[in-house]
Parts: sequence; C-alpha cells; structure tokens
Amino acid sequence: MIKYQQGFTAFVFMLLSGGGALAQEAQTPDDILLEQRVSSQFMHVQSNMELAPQKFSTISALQQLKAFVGQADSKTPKCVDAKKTLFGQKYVLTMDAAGKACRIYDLSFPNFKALFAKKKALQIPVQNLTSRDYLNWLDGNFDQINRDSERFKKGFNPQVAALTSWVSKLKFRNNPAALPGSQLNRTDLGLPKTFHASDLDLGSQFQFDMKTRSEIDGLVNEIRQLPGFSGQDSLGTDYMVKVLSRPELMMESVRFDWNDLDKAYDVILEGEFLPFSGPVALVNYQAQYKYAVEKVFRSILSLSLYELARFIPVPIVSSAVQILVNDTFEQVEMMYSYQMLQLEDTLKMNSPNSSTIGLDNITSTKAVELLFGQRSDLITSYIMAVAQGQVFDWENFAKLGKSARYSAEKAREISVAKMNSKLTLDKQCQMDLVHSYFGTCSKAGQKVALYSLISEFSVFGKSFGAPVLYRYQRPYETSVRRGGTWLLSIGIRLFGLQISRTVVYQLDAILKNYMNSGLLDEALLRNSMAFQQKSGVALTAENAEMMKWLYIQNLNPFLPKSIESENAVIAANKQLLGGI
Amino acid sequence: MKTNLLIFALGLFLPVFSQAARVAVTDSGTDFSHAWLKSHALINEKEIAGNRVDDDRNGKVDDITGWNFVDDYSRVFFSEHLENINEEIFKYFEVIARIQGNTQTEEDKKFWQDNVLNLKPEQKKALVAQLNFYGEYAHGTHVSGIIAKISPDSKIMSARVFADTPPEDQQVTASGGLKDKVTGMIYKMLAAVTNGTFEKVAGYLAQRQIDVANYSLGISLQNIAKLSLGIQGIKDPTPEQLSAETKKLAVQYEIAGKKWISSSPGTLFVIAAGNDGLDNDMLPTFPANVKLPNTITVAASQGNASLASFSNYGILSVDIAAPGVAIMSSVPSLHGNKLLPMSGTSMASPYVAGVAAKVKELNPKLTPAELKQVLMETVDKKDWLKAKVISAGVINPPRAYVAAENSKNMSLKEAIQSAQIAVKDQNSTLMALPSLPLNSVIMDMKKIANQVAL
Repeated sequence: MIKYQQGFTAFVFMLLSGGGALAQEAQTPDDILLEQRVSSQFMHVQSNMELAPQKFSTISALQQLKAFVGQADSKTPKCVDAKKTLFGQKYVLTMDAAGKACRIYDLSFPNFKALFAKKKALQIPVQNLTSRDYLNWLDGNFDQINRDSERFKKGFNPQVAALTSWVSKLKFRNNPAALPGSQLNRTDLGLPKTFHASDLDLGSQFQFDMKTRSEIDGLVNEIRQLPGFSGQDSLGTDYMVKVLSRPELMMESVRFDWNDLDKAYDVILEGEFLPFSGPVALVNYQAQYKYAVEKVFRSILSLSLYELARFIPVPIVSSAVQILVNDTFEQVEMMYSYQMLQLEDTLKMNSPNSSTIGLDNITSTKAVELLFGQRSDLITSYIMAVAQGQVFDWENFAKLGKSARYSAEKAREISVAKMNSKLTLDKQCQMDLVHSYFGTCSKAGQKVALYSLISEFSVFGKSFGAPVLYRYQRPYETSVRRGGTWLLSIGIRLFGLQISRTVVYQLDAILKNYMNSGLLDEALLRNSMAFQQKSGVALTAENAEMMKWLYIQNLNPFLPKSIESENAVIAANKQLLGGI
Repeated sequence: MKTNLLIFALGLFLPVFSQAARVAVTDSGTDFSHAWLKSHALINEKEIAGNRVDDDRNGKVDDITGWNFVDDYSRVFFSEHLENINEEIFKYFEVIARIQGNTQTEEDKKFWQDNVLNLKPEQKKALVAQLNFYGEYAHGTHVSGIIAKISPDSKIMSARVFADTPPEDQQVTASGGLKDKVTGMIYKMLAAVTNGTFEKVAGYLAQRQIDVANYSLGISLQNIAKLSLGIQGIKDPTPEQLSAETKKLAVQYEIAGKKWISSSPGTLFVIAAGNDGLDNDMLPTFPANVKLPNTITVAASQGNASLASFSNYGILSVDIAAPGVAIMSSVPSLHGNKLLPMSGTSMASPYVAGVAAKVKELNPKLTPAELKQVLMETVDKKDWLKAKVISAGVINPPRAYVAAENSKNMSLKEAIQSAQIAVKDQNSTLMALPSLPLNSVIMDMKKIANQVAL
C-alpha cells in the first residue's frame, strides 16, 4: 500500500538517488572513516530498513483518491462564503448566508498573486564536498566547514569548477551561454550563466505514455467534476492535469542562476510552479477532509514526477530533478504545517470565558481540532481505508481531529517535562519556561539559548536532546547551521561519495532531521510573540532581535523573511479576498 | 489467648505503632483526588512536584504518585475525561453488580429490559463503548479503593500500564472504525506484555521499595495463541493446534514473567486469576500462572459462600480465593466521591493485596514469601475450593492479622497455628443464595464487565 506522506517521498528519494552520479573513484581514508562513523552510530536500524521501495502508480493512487472523494463528497454539506470576519489580524473566517462557518483563510499564506513570483528555492554549490566535510559536520565543527567553503570561494577557478564539479556532467539540449572565463575553448560548456531545468536533456521518458496520460486525464476530470470540488473548494486540479500531461511544464518554471558571491547556483521557481493561485483556506468546516485530500494530490504529483525523473538518462540531471522535486514539495508541506501551527496558536488564545481573538469558543475549538486532525496521520489512514472499501462515516471522521489534538497535546506536555529536565540536569541550565513550549537556558545569570521543548533532535531513535532555536550571543548560528546542513544534504544526494548507499541514506536522514528539528515549533513561538506585540505589549529589544532571526532562519523559500514582507502578503491577500 | 487478642487489638486500632505498607497498583491509573484515596498516595519525597525536573535522577520526571509506563510520563490519571462521561452509566454498573451477585430486583429487570434489551443495535454499540471506556478508566481507582479500605494506613502508588484512550476513541472503536486494534483491551494487554512494560514496572517497584503490588490484569494465553496462529495464517485452528500453541506460549511467558517478578524480590505480587470461569491449570492465564515464592494468585468468591461463576481457578496455579462480587469501591467522578460496585477477580486481588499490606504493617520483618504463607495458611477452608485453589480456602483477614502480630514473638508456624485457634471462620450466610438464569444479552453485559474488570 502506498503511503502518501512526506516521509515516504523522502524515503523513496533517498533510496533511489543515494550514491549519486559523480562517485566513481576509489575510497579515501575519510570515506572509510565516515562510513564507519555513521554505521557504528546507527547500525542497529539497518536490519529494519526496507530497501526495496514499491513502484509508485499514479493511476491507482488517483483511483483511490477518487473513491474517497466520491464517497465523502456525497455526504458533505456545501458552504458558500457570504460573510467575512477578520480575526487575529491575519485570518478571515467566512460564513454562509445562514451564519454557518465555512472556512478560515490565512492572509499570511503566500501565493502567486501575493508575493510568490520568482522565489529562490534552494542553492546548489559547485564546490565538490568530501567525506571530510561530513565528518566535520558530525563533529559539530561548522567553523571548519565554513572555513573550507571560504577557501574554495577565494581560490575559485571557474575553469576548474567547470571541469570537476557536477556541472561538467550535465547534458543540455542546447548549451546555454557560459560564465566568462569558465570555458576551456569556445565549444566547451563551461559554467552556464543561467538555464532552465527544461533546457537539460531530460530524455524522451520524462513524460507518461499516451495511454497512461489519457487515463490520468480521465480520472482527474472525474474528480474535478464532483460537485464538492468546484468553485471555492477546487483542488487546483487544472494545474495538476497540465503538469501530469506535460511534466516539462514544471521544469520550465525552474531556473538555475549563477550566484558569483556564493559560487553556487540559485534555484529559482518562476511562474505558477504549484497550484497556489489565490488566498489559501487552512480550515474547511464543512469539507473537513479537504486539506488531507489536497495533500494526497500534491503527493501524487510529486511522486509521479519523481518516478518520471528516474528515467532521465543523464544520471546527474536525473539526480538534480529528483532533488528539485523532493525538496520543493517537502518545503511546500513544511509551509502548510508552519502556517497551520501559527493559526493553531492564534485560535488557542481564545478561552471559554473571553473571546480574545473575536471568535466564539465553539468555532475556534472546532478549528483547532481540524488543524490537529489534518496534520495527523489519522486522516490520511482514514482516506486510505475508505478508498479501499470502508464506508465513509462522517461522525467518526469528525472525531479524528479531537482525538489527534488530545494525543498531540499530551505528547507536547510529556516532551516539555523531559526536555526541561535534561537541560537542567545534563546541561546545568537554569531554565525558564516561556510561551508554553519553550525554555530559556541561563548560566551564571546570563541567557545562553532558547530551546524548543516539544521536539527532540533524534536520529533513528538516538536522542540528542532539545533543539536550540536561538543563541543569544550568536543569533545567526541557527540560520548558518541550517543553511550549511541543507547544502550538505543536497551535496550528498547530488554528488554522492565513495560510501555505501545505506550510509548515504542514513547520513542524509541525519542531515534532514537536524535541519528541520524545532523548525516548525518556531511557528508557535513566533506567533505567540507577534500576538503579544499586536495586543499592545511591546517586545523587549532582545525578543525583537530574536523575532527578526526567526523569520530569517526559516529557510523555507516560500515564506516571508521579515515582518514587513509578511505584512505585504497580508495586505495583498486582503485585496484578493475582496477587501476585509 | 488473651495476649493474642490484646496484640490483635493493638494491631488493628493503634496503627501509629506500625509502618505504613507501600503498595503499588499496576493498572489503568488511580484517581488520587477521590475522597477515599486522598490521604493514601505514596508520595515520592525525593521529587519536587511540578518543577519538570527529574530531581531523584531515576529517569522519571516528577514521578510523585507513580508513573505512567505507557506514555513514559508522570500523569497516571487523566481527569479531563470526566467531563465527557455520561453519569447515567453508573446505573448500569449498579444493576450489573446486582445481577452478578444474584440480588437483582424487579426494578433492575425493568431497567435492563428498557435500557439494554430494547436498544437498537447501534445504540447498544454506543452503550458498550461507554461502559468499556468507563470500566477501564475507573478500574485502577476502584482497585486502589479496595486496598485503601482494607488497609487504611497503607500508601499506594500507581503504575499505569494501559494506554490512555479518550472516550471519543472508544466511540470510533464501537462503530467499527480504525482503531479497534489499538484500543481493544486484549491488544492493550498484549502490548503491555510484549513491549517490556512489566519488566520496567518491576524495576521501578524495586526502586521504590514496594511491599505489595497488585496486578488486577491478565490475558488468557489461549487468546494470544489464537492471534499467533492467525498471524501464521491459521484462521480456524483445531483444538490440538490451539492447545499446542498455548503450551508453547506458556513456557515462553513463564520464563519472561519469572524474570521480571524476580527483579523485585522484596515485593509480593498479588495477581488476579482471570474471569473466564476456566481452569488455569489447563488454559493458562498470564501473569496469573507465573509461580514464584513472591507471587500469589487470587480467585474470586461470592463472599465466602461460593466460587464466583466467572472466576478462574486451578488447583496447581491459583493460590487463594477472596470476595470479588459486587465489591463497592471508589470510582472517578466530577465530585470525587462516587462509589460503585464492580465484580471480578480484579476486585478479589486487591482484597488480598490490602490484607497483605496490613499484615506487612503489623510485622514489617515478614518477607514476601512469609506474607504469602500467612495469607495462605490462615484461610477459611472450604469444601467447594478443595479442587479449585491451592490453599482450599477464602481469605480470613482477622486471622491473618493475628498471625502477623504473633509472629513478632514466635516462629511464623507457631504464630499461624495460634491464630487458627484464636480466630473463627467468617460468617457464611451468603452460601444459600440461589443462582438465577441469565438471558444471553445479560451474559453479553457480563462479558463487558468481565472484560473491563479482570
């Protein structure tokens, strides 16, 4: 059975792309050491790993989705937005003419009409990373990684880079213009100044065959015609049909630009890369499964593209496209989660006795439950169960959110106690609990760092404790570490090293876990601080600085990087919703 | 004789001279806010409550009144569910108890007819879900209340081994939803058995120097055998296949059980025999069938008149009987003072645990094996138990207390002998009660009660 989860996508990705295209040489002592380090630390999980992923079938996934939507849709009360109420300064509750709650729009959710065009999604360096870089990372020696990177940049030779980096392995349909000084001769590729992913030689198999395409078209059209999924509850199926019909469309929206400062390629997403063409509703009171269904849709799209990318004949191009698809969709899911957590935090400001945010308690409580439900695996499992024949039971479905909230909040409570205790006892911190789920560690009366207490950085069951979100003396640190880790993660998938594929998989999982640990929790912290500020309680200078970094260190390419840009998104979305 | 009685009186009425026994209730969590239990919590003085720091560095943050081994968490009882409990279900428990005690009234019969027999299938399912939820939710508190009542000076800690399942999850289960395998009692029990929970609990009991631990829980190995055969692809096993698989499992489980029980040698493990009305010698139940000097397995009797119809027994595997029908004890409620009757070997086991705790208080020098000896050798011998339990008798608390007190000044054997002379058998007026036929739905309801109150 195919599991439509982000983790699954990443898992498949890792298995398929690990041991990338450039690794052809003999193992160095560092390669051997890296292999030993990763294996000895995490060896126990190897025997449990499923090493042969099932082949993804777009058709059967769509058939299952159609089965679910068909059942659920027939039992869903429809809701047409008639009245709009602004709350929490960045959310809009809509109601139908009879006053029944329909949706909650998130005005701070970026989309193509509000901010989104031309976003830098990620960066791929041309520096050839080695096992030594990864060993340094495992030792926590970020300074050495940075020093090596700076040394590479200082001694950068475009001709050498063009000959030895991953770029030398690229194959274009028509060679793009080269960076001056990077070519050995006029016919040489050199380092391209700029190119689109669609300029690469994607081969003839980066598309479905005619029969499959026609089946996909038929299925998507059937889903699209279900009455519940038209108008305001549309699933962005138009975009889906277009991309599935011609996957190159997505590649045409991806541009690689040479960044001379970083000696890397910036990957820019242009145009309508994904179906976010207008304000996004994070809560749907009637079609409560809508978010989950959309998520399944996105998974089908990403897994389909990913599957196709495997057939790209040039290995490095295949790897690059896979990274692009995987990381982009992963970031999209992270964006949803981040925004939903902010909304959750806002809704929870309400209490049974006072309507702090301007919503009644029943409406806000229901929304919180829906948010928990749609982030949990319960609903995805429910969708699969219904798709496989179980009768859709609306009452049971509606209870899943409450159940998910209960479990999630209990897990947070448990984690806060555990992490607080560890920091107190193991790191000798004087802990102060702030904003419900976070703790400030002080030593000798001085604030050292702020930790998320509801997460634990762990790799394959091995715990490394609570993640640091902010260091008071080195505010940039989290940003630098996350950015560097992402580069290393891309590196190991793109270039590969002379190490086994299992170790590549493990190492990449470690890197990804590290990069993302505590990241989503920051949404709760940021929102809580912002709400406090908007309620008229000014942030201290220290907290204002932290707030600034919370925007910056969230590397998600789609999310605003400052309060000002977020406000611009809110203003644009207000207009798009017809003025609030 | 006079000396013995004086000692007995001192033991009963001057508890200030005795040391409170430390009792653990390994169960579904204890509501220590209940009026019966407020002063009974065994507080871990080495922890500072609510500071979210593992002050005693035992790997458990804020383990003040026990530990939740399922969530690895300090909260053993989840009072937030009280808001979602429809208190009308209390009436069902009262009526079920009277049915099980054969003391039902005409009014009970009418209630049953109107509120059970006449329900539509989906209403019945919902009712079952509510009863199952509350039965499990209240179980640990009810068990703790029995111990507290029998041994008023004892201090109790809760070792939670059953997952906290909110009422709404039970509703999903009842409607045939997704989570039946997760929430079903048998699966919860199986999870606790197989994932090392009991081993962890035993380690904790040793650390907290627990004198008596009550285990009103268990699972028929035949049930596990059926699951195991099912996994192997044998959906309808023959009796021979089932028996062979059960025997195989019994060996494995006994080894595992002995390992964890041995890790807390200073504790007497009091274990319910099970509620299937079956012979544990033939069809073993876990952990009831684990035999060690510091375990005692308990069957349920109706007062001291007869073996309860639902009770498991075993002349080689069950040690003693104790009252387990319609036992009134504390249950969680919004007002914190509700009492309800429940039946099961689950109720008989804490009866014995409570007596064991008091015996320990009277003579703290007694080892778990000696505690067991006192309990076993001071029973009221009953003909109807001769072929059913090893001691052939029902517990006699006053006699056990006299033996315990006397044992401070003489050998244990002499103390028991003198107690046997000094204290008569207990009243047996309940023996004559007739057994009324029950219709099938009532039997179903009994199953529910048994399921939640093993």
